[in-house]
Parts: sequence; C-alpha cells; structure tokens
Amino acid sequence: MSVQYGAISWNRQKKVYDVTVLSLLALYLGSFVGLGAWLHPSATAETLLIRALGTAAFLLLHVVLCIGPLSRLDRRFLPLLYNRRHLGVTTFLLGLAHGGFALFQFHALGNVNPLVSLFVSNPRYGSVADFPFQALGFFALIILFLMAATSHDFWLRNLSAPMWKRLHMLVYVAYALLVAHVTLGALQSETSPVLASALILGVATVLSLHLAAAFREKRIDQARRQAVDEGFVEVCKVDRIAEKCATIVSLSGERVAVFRYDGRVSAISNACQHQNGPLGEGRIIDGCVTCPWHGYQYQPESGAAPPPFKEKVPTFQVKVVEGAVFVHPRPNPLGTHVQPAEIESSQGRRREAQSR
Amino acid sequence: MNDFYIGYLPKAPEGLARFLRRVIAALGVLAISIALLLVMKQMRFANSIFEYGKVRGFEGTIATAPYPSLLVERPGMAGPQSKYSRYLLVAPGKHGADELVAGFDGKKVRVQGQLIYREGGTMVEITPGSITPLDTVPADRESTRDLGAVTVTGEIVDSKCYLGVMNPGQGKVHRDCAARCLSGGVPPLFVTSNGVDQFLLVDPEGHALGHDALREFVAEPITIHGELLQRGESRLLMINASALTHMAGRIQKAPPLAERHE
Repeated sequence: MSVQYGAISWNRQKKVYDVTVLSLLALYLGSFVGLGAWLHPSATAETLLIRALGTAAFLLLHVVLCIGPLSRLDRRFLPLLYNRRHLGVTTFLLGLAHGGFALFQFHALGNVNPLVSLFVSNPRYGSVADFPFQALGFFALIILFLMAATSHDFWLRNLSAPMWKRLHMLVYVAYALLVAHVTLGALQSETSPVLASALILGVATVLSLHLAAAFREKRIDQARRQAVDEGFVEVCKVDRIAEKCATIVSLSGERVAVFRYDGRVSAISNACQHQNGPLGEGRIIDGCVTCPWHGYQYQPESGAAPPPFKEKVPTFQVKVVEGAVFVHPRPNPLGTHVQPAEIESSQGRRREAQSR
Repeated sequence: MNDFYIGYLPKAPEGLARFLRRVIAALGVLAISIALLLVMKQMRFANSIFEYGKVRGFEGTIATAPYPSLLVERPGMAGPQSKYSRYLLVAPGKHGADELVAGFDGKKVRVQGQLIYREGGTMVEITPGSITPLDTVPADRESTRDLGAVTVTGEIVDSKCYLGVMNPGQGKVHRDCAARCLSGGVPPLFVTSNGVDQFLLVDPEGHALGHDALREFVAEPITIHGELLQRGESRLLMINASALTHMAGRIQKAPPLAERHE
C-alpha cells in the first residue's frame, strides 16, 4: 500500500521475486540456446533466439494464468501472486523481443514496410491450415502491451478496479490467440507429436485449474439463503469462523466477507478496492482486514483503509443471535461505520434464555 | 497466522518460504526439462550455409535470363558434367539481382559477394556496385534440353532462404518470408517432398515468372505439372502459374519444346 505513485514500489520481497524470475528465465533461455546450438550446429543464432524467446513468453503466460487459480486452491501459492504484474510485463517483453526478431527476420529488408508485409505476405485468410498465423501473434502482443502499459496502480486507480479488471481479462483472448498462433504456425511445420502433446498439456493445465477454482467458488455463490428477520439472512454459525479469519458468503449476487475477531463479527465486501482480491481469504492483522493478494488493509467495522490510505469498501449490517451470524444483504455506502456484533453478549443472552 | 504472506513485509513466514523454495527448484528443473524437450524434438536443420560477412571474389559470365546467374568455368573440366558452375545471383535483403546485373548479360565480369550453398545448389549475394567487366572471352551459351512433362509434389520456396540464408528456409513458419523474397525478385525454386530434386520455376515460355505470381502458393504442399528443361547443371520447370490450385494443384500442360539454344 502507498499513498503516492512511484515507478515501482520496490521492497525486499519484490526484489527477491524479480531476481528469481530473471534467474529462471536466464536458465531457460540459456538452456534452449545452448542446447540448441550444441544439438543443431546448422541452426542460425537468430532462429534459436526467436524460438527461445517465443517459447519462454508462451510458457511464462501459462505460469501467469495458473497462479490465480492455484492460489485459490492452495493458499501457499499466494506469494507467487503478489508480484504477478511483473511476470505479465516480463511476458510482454519476451513476446516483444520474439515478435521484433521475427518481424525483422521474415519481413524486413523487403519491398514493402515490414508491418504491411505482416498482413499481406500470406493472403490465405480463408484457410485454416495456411492461415497467416503471424497476424494472430501480433494481435496477442497488442493485448499484452495494453496490459503491461496499464499494469501500474496509476491506471488501476484512474480506470477503476472493475474496468481495470475487465481490461486485464483480455489476457484470456491473448492466450487463445497465442494457442492459435502456435497451432497454425510452428505445429504446421514441426512433425513431432511430442510438441503438439506439450501444447495440449499446457492448455489442459490452464483450463483444469480454472475449472477447479471456479467449481469451488460456485459452491459459495450457489448456497441459497433466505431472509428470516428484518431482511437479515443467516449465513453460518459463529463457531465456523476461525478467529481473525472470515467466511465468504454470496448475498443477492454479491460476495460478502464475514470476519470474526476479538469477540466480534463484522461484514464487508469481499472485493478489495485494489484489484478485486478476495478479502475473505485474508486475515485480521493489527486490527485490520488484510488482503491476501497485496496486503491492502481495511478496518473491519468501517471498510475504510487506516489513515493515510483512502481505499474503502462497502460494509454490511451484521448481528449474532444464539450463536448464528446474520448479515443484511444490502450493502452500505463505501466506508460506512457499522457497529460490530458482539459474540459474547449474544451467547450470554442465549444462556440467559436457556436458564429462564 | 504464521503462514499468512504479506508482500511488503521484509520476510515471508519460514514455513511458506520453505515451500516456495521447493516450488522454485521444481520450476528450475521444469525450465531445463522443457528447453531440452523442445530443442530435441525440433525438426532437423538443413546443412545449408550463408557465409555472412565473408566476401569473396568470383569471375564468370553473367546470364540475366531467366534469372540472374553467374557461369563460372570449371577448371580442367571434362566428361559429362556441365562445363560451367552456375551461381544464382541475388541482391542483399529480400531482393533479386535484376537491377544489379542489368547491362552485363553475356559479359565476363568479376563480382564480389557472399556465398550461399546447400547440397549442390549455389548462390551469390552480390555486393552492390562490385561488378566489373573483364576483357576476356565470355562463356558459351549453354544448350537447353527438353526432359519432357513431369508431375511433381513438393513446395515452392524462395531460393535465397532455402539455399542457406535462413534455416529453416521452407515450411509454414517461413511462408511470409518466402512470399516477400519472391515478391522482391528472388528466383522461385520448387523442392520435391523428399528434398532430393530442385527446379527453378519459369513460365511456359521459359522466362522468369512474375514476382508475385506464386505468392498464394508458397510454402504449402502442392502438386504441379510442367515441362522440365535441363540447362547446364540447372533444371527449369515451366509452369503456368495462373492455373495453380491449392492442394490438388493442376496446371495446364505446356506446349512441348524442341531442343533450343538461347
């Protein structure tokens, strides 16, 4: 969290993250080019580079796409998500290098502008097998550029989180374009079934992880609850919420994070103002709800970030009756203070009622 | 609480850090394994050479048709082989050498350039402005022999990339480059599916094809029918480009040619 923009807000974890990513990339690129030059002495350096950079970008995009669902399925992967934007920018830069080399190699030094050549050299747009696959890669690169260029929090703030999120969902369009780029390009020339199998495995991994995560979240959204008292809806027994943690429920189509802490219960929107991270998967730390994605914090009773930060999320009326938590599904305006429900007094009233 | 990660804190919880170290090690092994797999499973690269940066001098007779060539006399040549080695000539980049050799047809010259070769096919990328006429006797015109009609299956490529400037210089990935090279005047070559035979493609009159005549048909499997000619050590396949079709490509049979001399 920060109150002013910097080019990049470096911290130790980000540095460790980036050094690790660059080291793994260097390992991959070095292995590809080194082994390629050794096993294929006739191969030209530019061909090896184009292939190494292209496959690196495509593989990294798989990693980027898998981190989200992996983190939902296993919280231990959350640290990989913390600096995922740097992975996205790195993917774009690798793709740009691949595309730049390819554009020069295949289209430069000819009788038309290379960018024009990209679209007119192969006129077989009506064919599947002979489709101009390089154009697909070009459009994927444009999307990756848009995402990389708007990855900074400046754009997140100015575009608004939902709009920013929608823009960045285009990564799936880019991924589909790149799968087609590889299928209609390299796989039309290469004959080894291993390469086609590797692509299928990659796509299957991305799809299955997303489906598994979606199935898990669907259970939250499909749980049916009925209003029982002045519009309040019973969401769970208070005992089911671990101390300083939350349970996530879907009320009137909106996910609500219901936190238990210090003998009290508060309910706020589940969507972090920063990147729509799942606040309900976070923790109460230093008295604040802390987002598991990037550590943005909110006071549970008001949904407002502690000063000097300015983020706010909607709050919900909550009460605890006889050990059951009730939440009103109508969201309060951003940052509205709501008195937390007291667990002890509720249980005390229950004991009194039982003794009478 | 111990396993909750906050990125802006100095250190990750120890248990989580241990897990992440294992994940990173696994990713490292995966990176090397995938690189090895992809490199090993690539198709073989052809044994083709472009002597980039190595400029040599050549002496021979320029033939501008059907495509610019340099006929270099074989020293002490005897037997059935052609008296001359034929080097196709191209300009730098994706361009043919028509402009560079204009005015030198049939003349003995010295030319500088970079050699390109693959399995007997040879080419020189001319250094612009390096052609100098010589006052020696030019080569005899090579006779042309009609080898009859043939139907062949293979791929249309641009001769410059196929012979060595790019590797691979054929196939779908190279398609756009081949189209651009042909469009720039690089001579079109037909390579049979088994890679054994190569024919320079010419029109039914034996002249150079239009630069963009084959653009739609390059780098895809195609069957073509044409009249085959032998000229020196080169084989020319006369085709009607306007009659080419995708996949089951058929072209009109060219009129039979009597043996002729240019």
